[in-house]
Amino acid sequence: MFLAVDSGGALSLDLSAVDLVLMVIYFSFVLGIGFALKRAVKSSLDFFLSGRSLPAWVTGIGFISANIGAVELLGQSASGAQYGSAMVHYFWIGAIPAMVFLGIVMMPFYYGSKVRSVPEYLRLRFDPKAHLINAITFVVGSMLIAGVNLYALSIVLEALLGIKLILAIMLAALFVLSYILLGGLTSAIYNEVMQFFVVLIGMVPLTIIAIKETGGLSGLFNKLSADHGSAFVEPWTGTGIGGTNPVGDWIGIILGLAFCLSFGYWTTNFAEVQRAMAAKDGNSARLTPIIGAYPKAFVPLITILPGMAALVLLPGIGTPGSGLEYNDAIPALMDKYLPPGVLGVAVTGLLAAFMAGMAANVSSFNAVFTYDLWQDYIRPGRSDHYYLVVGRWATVGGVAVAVMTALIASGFSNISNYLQTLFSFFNVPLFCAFIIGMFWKRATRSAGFWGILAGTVAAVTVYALYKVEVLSFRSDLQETMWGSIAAFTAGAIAMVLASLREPRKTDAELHGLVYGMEIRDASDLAVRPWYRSPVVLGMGVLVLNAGLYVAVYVI
Amino acid sequence: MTSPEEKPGEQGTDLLAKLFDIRSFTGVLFLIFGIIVTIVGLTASDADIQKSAGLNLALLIGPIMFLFGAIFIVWLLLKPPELLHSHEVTEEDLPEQLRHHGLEAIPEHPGEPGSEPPPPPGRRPSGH
Repeated sequence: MFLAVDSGGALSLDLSAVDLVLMVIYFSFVLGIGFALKRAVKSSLDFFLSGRSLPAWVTGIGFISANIGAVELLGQSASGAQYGSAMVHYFWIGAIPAMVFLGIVMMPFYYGSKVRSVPEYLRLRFDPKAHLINAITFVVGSMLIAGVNLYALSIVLEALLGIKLILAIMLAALFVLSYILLGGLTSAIYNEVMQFFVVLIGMVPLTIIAIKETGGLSGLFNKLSADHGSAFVEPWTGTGIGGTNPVGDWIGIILGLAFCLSFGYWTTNFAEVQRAMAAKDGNSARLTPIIGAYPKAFVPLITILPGMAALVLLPGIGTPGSGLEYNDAIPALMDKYLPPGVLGVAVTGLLAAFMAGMAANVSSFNAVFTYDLWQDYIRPGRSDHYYLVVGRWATVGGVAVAVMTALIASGFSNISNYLQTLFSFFNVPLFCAFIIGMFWKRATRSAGFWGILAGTVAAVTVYALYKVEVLSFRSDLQETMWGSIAAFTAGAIAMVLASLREPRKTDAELHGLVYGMEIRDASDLAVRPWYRSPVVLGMGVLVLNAGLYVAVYVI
Repeated sequence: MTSPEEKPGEQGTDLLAKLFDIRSFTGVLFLIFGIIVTIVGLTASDADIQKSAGLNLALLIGPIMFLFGAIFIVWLLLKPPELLHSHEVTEEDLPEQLRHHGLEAIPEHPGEPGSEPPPPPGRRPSGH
């Protein structure tokens, strides 16, 4: 699925002793962090939210790093090879404005209200029905996706160390399990920070090679433009209605991708928001996604760009018979170009990214399981220590399910695509419930549930109509964009209708949860220097983004 | 900076605890990586250089990593970390709407029986 190693061995990485030494050193540091943090975990809040104590730069890097897993690194480079530079929309008009919005607008509701998870917000703002839908789909989704990350990690391990896949899965799972059990969320975030820098330094040589070997950026773009048409290298070309850009049309990109999909993912996914909730004060929480947005703006340089260069450097990639799939672009480039030592750093970064991706799923899963399911519905009113113990057992259980998912994924290689599709149906309706819940005080108790339900049905319907060819789109990507516009619209209408037939919630019930009643702490009200101001930094990264778009055209 | 009065005997553990900061881990890791990769770069064969488009990548990346590690260590020394202290959960840590119901048993740490005031008569929060 991710690497072709298990099917014919077209790709295997040739590691030297020094590369293995680097890997071993890195992973002993990972475990070391777990042991060092063990003493700092005394309460459930320490374990699930790092005791709300971390500085903004740490949570900011954790925020972005939790998302640089298998899907991001291999998937985005594969999409770069397949669809070309229009994939940058997923970053520059998708993720980054969403992260800025989360930091500037939404974070005061999450952090100020002191909710301990994203589903908990729904429970307080709406009712237990909305809460349960979100908590259960999140718990199931993160365990399964942890399994997909685990599988990707194990394939790489299998290829590198020559051990059996099942052993690789067990080994990797044990590793993640031990450092999360020891240090909880802090352990996961610290590892994300370390992993982020290793990935960055490991991938940069690939970017350098991609540029140098193809005759510079303009050389690469000219060649790709000649072979694949100018829409391949110019992100906005062919995005008119009836145009040919495979990623879609501008309405779908702006409303569907940017507003619905990206806002939905980045502002309601607890695996992300949890990092901000771990920050030490209100202003740090708001800065978290914005600090993360700066490096995020450059991630296309280490994913999409090498993917596009792979078309030139690895002739035939993605075509039958070459033995290489688009997903292999990065590992295959590493194998072909990186010398000993540098290869070790790059492979370590790749493994660390998969592991951090899985750890992010596990560390957010156990919090939602413990606080939102166990404490709220199964065993309420116990001591905090009791919930800490439950959280540790939930971690064990979550990893066990991930192992089983990984074993299933090794049998059905397409399963991860189906899983991603399945859980994407919930994303946009959730965002709809949040944004309307936050900004429309009149939205009532059951509005959340009906919004999520109607939106999900709409998303599934559009997908089904596309699959049976009643609706036609340029690509799967364009379908998801229009599907999410439909989901948002349906969800919003359902919320309004549900709210009209019910009395509104009282101000006391809504305190801290809705616009006009947010609770801000001293750090958020104080006069800040510009480099601590979410608004200034947020605008800064948007300007940077616009500059990057221009840069693509100038080259 | 937050705890000027350290209890005697705890100084050793505090010093140890101060080393456990993400910057020390990242810094030391990159110092080690930097040294190893730089040595590899210094001894790189022509074939290795040929492989990576005529660049001695290891000699490029190694010193960068070393420098990177050094920056983290300098930062750590200039601004020592505050102690990571564990956190007692109180009602203040919960959303307003959840205080006073269902979580009355919050500060309870088995294993430290002496630190806990006796429960008010007639209202022992048990789990049953």
